[in-house]
Amino acid sequence: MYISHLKLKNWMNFREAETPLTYTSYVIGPNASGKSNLLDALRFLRDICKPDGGGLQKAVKDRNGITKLRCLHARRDPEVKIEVNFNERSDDPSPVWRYVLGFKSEGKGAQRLFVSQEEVWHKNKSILKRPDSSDSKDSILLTETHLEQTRTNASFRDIVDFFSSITYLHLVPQLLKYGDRIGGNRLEDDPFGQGFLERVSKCQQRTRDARLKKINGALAAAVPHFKELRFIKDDVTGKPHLEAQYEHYRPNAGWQRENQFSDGTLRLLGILWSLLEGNSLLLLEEPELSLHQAVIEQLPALIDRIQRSTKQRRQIIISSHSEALLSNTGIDPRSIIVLEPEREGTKLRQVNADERKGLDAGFSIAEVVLPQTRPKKIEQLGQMRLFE
Amino acid sequence: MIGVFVVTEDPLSEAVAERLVQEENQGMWITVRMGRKGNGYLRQNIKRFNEIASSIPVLLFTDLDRIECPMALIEDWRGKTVFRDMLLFRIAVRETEAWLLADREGFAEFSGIPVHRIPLQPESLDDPKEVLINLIRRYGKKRAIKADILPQKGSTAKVGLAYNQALCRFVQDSWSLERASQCADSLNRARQRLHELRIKLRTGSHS
Repeated sequence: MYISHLKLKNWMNFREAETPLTYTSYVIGPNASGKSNLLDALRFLRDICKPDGGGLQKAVKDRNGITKLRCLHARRDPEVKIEVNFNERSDDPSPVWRYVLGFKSEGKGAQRLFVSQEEVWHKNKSILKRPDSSDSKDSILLTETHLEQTRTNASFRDIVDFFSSITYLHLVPQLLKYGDRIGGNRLEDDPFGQGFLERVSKCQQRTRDARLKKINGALAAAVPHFKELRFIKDDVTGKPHLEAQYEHYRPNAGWQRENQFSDGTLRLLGILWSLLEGNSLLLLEEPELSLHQAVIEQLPALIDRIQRSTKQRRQIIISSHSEALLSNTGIDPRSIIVLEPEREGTKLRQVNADERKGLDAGFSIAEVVLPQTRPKKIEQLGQMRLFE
Repeated sequence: MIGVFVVTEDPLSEAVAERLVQEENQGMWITVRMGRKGNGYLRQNIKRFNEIASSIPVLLFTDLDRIECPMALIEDWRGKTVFRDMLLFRIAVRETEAWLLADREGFAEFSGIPVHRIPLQPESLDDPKEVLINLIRRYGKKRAIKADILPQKGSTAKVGLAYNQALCRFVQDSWSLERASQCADSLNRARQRLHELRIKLRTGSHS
């Protein structure tokens, strides 16, 4: 099962935007156009479903309340709405599941946050439609979604499971390397990879060894002189560590710990581990960071290979600015989502008919579509006299 | 509205192409910008650009550089390919910089160079870029423009770090196509061909 369509209303940068999605989607657009916010709409649904203390109220509060979360361009209509369609296969005539969630402030008094609409459809049959009669008897019920309650979501548990297992990764190597010294406040779900080693540690040994073996092979291809990767627990502190050995003119040069790894090695390690871990929707934020162009170029094929190797094909949404990543002419044009900032909020679009002509002639997304996301006045940036 | 592809070798010629399309106006707009990777890239992919031109106008700009004459360059690039009607293959003699210098008054105003120092026939220059840089170095009056366009002291780079940015801005803000095409025939012809193409497309007589 995968998300085949996403529609947003008044969600952060997006006043009114929708896009189809495929098993692999690439989100491209200029800075601050809303790439992360687009991914965040899906993380938001996950946060609602979290088994340990999720819920709509908390998910909104974690985003600093509805006034910060709602699109600035929202005027008469203050409702925020997210609509998600799920398909089983890409040729399904209609979505298998459909989930709609709308919410807004009460508009008076304590300005409580209320669900204004919650709908679930299964194969075009309505399963849930709120507000319903019990909601109108007891309006407090509208402070919670049915999605977040095990008692009420039994008939659409598939959707709940899908949302709650969404993973997001934006591994920041420095947080991992200097975690001890920074003194780590960690966000829930550890989006920035501080607890990456614990994640590796918690994994069953057999699975871990199998994954590390695969990663070992990948790193040996990408990192010059890289020889071997191993997982150990420190004898004294018991803390988990990754160690690597490099081909070296001194045979016993020893093992290097993760805090000595390069940023690129750590990022690649994190990406590979997440790709191998689980079969749920994976949101990858700018996987190209710290990586050499030659490595980035390989990522689309590598991701596809891993997707195909699992029993259940997992969905991956990637945000990127990278020319190298998008230079692969094998990338399906339908998998591209272009963000275009406009006066009234960002629009989502697919590759258009004219760009298609360029792609049909054999050019890549990087050559045809990516240049169109360049900001119109960008040349002025290089000419700014900021220090005069 | 007629959408066109604009294919150029660098940001400066892209800015020039934008002005040409803008000037032609009358419902023409740039739908896709490509290139900016030097002329080797354009030459290498000329067949593909030609293929795109089977269904949408492609405005392709390149510099003549050291090649003898435009015809020789076209023959060399074209090989046995037949260029489509909607491929507008235009060559700046010898470089886009010559087209910029061709608006003598405008360029003098922009750079502070006395107008009589700017060559009357920029298309006859062997290396217009070098001439432009030397003019600015010797006669340029504006400190900021000099800092943008000239290489830093001691640097072995040919141009300054904001060379393209500064000249693009000139093209966008104050370059007069009217004046420039009087001194640069290759620009004048580029303008005419674009105009003819638009008329042809409007009447629907293209093949």
